[in-house]
Amino acid sequence: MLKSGSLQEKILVGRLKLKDKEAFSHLYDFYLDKIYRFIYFKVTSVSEAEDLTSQTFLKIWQLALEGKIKVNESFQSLLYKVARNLVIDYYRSSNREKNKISLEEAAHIAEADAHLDQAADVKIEMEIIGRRLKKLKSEYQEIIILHFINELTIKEIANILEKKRGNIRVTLHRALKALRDAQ
Amino acid sequence: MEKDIITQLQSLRTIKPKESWRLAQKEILLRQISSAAQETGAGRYFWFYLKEVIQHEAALIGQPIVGVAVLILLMVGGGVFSISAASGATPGSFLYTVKLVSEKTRFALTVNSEDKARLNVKFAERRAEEIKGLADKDAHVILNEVADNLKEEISSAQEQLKQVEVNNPGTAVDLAKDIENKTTVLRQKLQETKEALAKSGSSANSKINEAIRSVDEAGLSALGTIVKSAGKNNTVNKKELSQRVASKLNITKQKITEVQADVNKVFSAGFSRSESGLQIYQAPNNVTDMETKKKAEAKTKEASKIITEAEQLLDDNNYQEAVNKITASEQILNEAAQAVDQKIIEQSDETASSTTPQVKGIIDRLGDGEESAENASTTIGN
Repeated sequence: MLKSGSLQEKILVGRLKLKDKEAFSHLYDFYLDKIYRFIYFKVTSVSEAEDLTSQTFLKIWQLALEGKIKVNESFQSLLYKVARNLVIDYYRSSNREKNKISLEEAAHIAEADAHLDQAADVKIEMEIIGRRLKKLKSEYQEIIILHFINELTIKEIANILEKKRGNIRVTLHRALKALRDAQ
Repeated sequence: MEKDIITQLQSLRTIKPKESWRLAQKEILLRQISSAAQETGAGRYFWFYLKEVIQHEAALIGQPIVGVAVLILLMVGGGVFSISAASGATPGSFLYTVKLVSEKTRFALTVNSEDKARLNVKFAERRAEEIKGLADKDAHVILNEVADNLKEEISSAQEQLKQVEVNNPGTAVDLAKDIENKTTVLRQKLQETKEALAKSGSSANSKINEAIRSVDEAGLSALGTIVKSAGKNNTVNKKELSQRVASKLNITKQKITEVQADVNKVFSAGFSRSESGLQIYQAPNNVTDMETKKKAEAKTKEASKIITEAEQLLDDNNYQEAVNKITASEQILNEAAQAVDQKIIEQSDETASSTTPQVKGIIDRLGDGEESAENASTTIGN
């Protein structure tokens, strides 16, 4: 099974740099869910999340074509940085309010859950926590999503956000507090 | 409260894109990138892959000089020829590193889980041959490392089979049959080596026991896949199924007998020679050993009981439940076997320290006459 940072991944990224479609396909399969989840909580609709996710992978391909994927850089970090920048650009260009919760969003969460076979009370719980997460400021959202949902380590998050590990730990603690206090 | 929030956050891991979108989008993306994509065969970029493998392995073992040395060897020695020259290399030799690197390269180049599983088994078979060679040479320290490597390969094969079951159930049965057949042969080979080593009383036996347990686990897991598939799709005929399950059951019964014998032997009474002549010393020598022996005996009895139930289920053609019982019996039996292995290791450590030769001065030697009678302890039959 593919693991982030593994030899297998390094070889796939190497092949991606050589414009190997099959390598792209494998990396897409491995990272799609995580990148989708990361973007999902930062936008207001499923279609936005889908579009931006696709754009992330297309951008990665473009970087590969331009020879801009660096040898020693973590591929996972690169993916998240690209996704993050795309979301920022999206909001800048559309002047949307990031944290506004709309009925559409409530439907969005329910829609995403529709194909999940889970008890109703769990779905409600997820809806509640999902809404509270979306109310947080971007910096807190990102760190919570990356650590608790996408299971990245402090070191990996520090790499993506280009901050020190101590800084990430402190922000994580504050983010959790803010989430607890959010209504 | 915080733990509760974290649990709730973790539940959000189930959020995924719709499957229909995932597949459609992948198709669209692949079409979009097709024009610029290059066709790549694995062989075309061999040197790139090999370099990546060596750098990765060297970084992991913290010995970049090994990686550089291997790379130079490959470049100077003609690459492919060096690798094929290394294929017969034995553990402990420099070329053995090249052999392992080439195996890892080959594994890394393989993307398909089914092929990976077959490679894992092939490498495990190589390790078993190497272990046999090392046992003949008495190179027990290296043997332990190779046995660990074998366990990793066979464990990886098991993981790959699970992947194939999920992603490509149609091919899982054939792969499972192949793995089951090969693990049976592998087991036999390791058992022969173990028996040869037992005569020399080596502690490497416990490592081989661990390797056998891993192989048995993989074989049983493969059998589980076969039985599950037979239940769903009728892809395996009943006679074959019955034979496979019966064979596994018999192996487990045999193992129970062996472990029971080992428990008695390892925790049994012995004899010692003292000034007064032959003396029987009571063993187990302490409360801990007594308890360990009792627990091990109880486990072998339980394993035996469960195997009897498995036999009954097999007679009733309830293959799935029979395999479940065999698995449960093996798990309990392994606990007893591990306790025995641990005791063997302790005993061989004690033997090594008590037979350490002492350098004595003349004054010490004058007292030897009295001391040697008290200290000598030999068991009859050794």
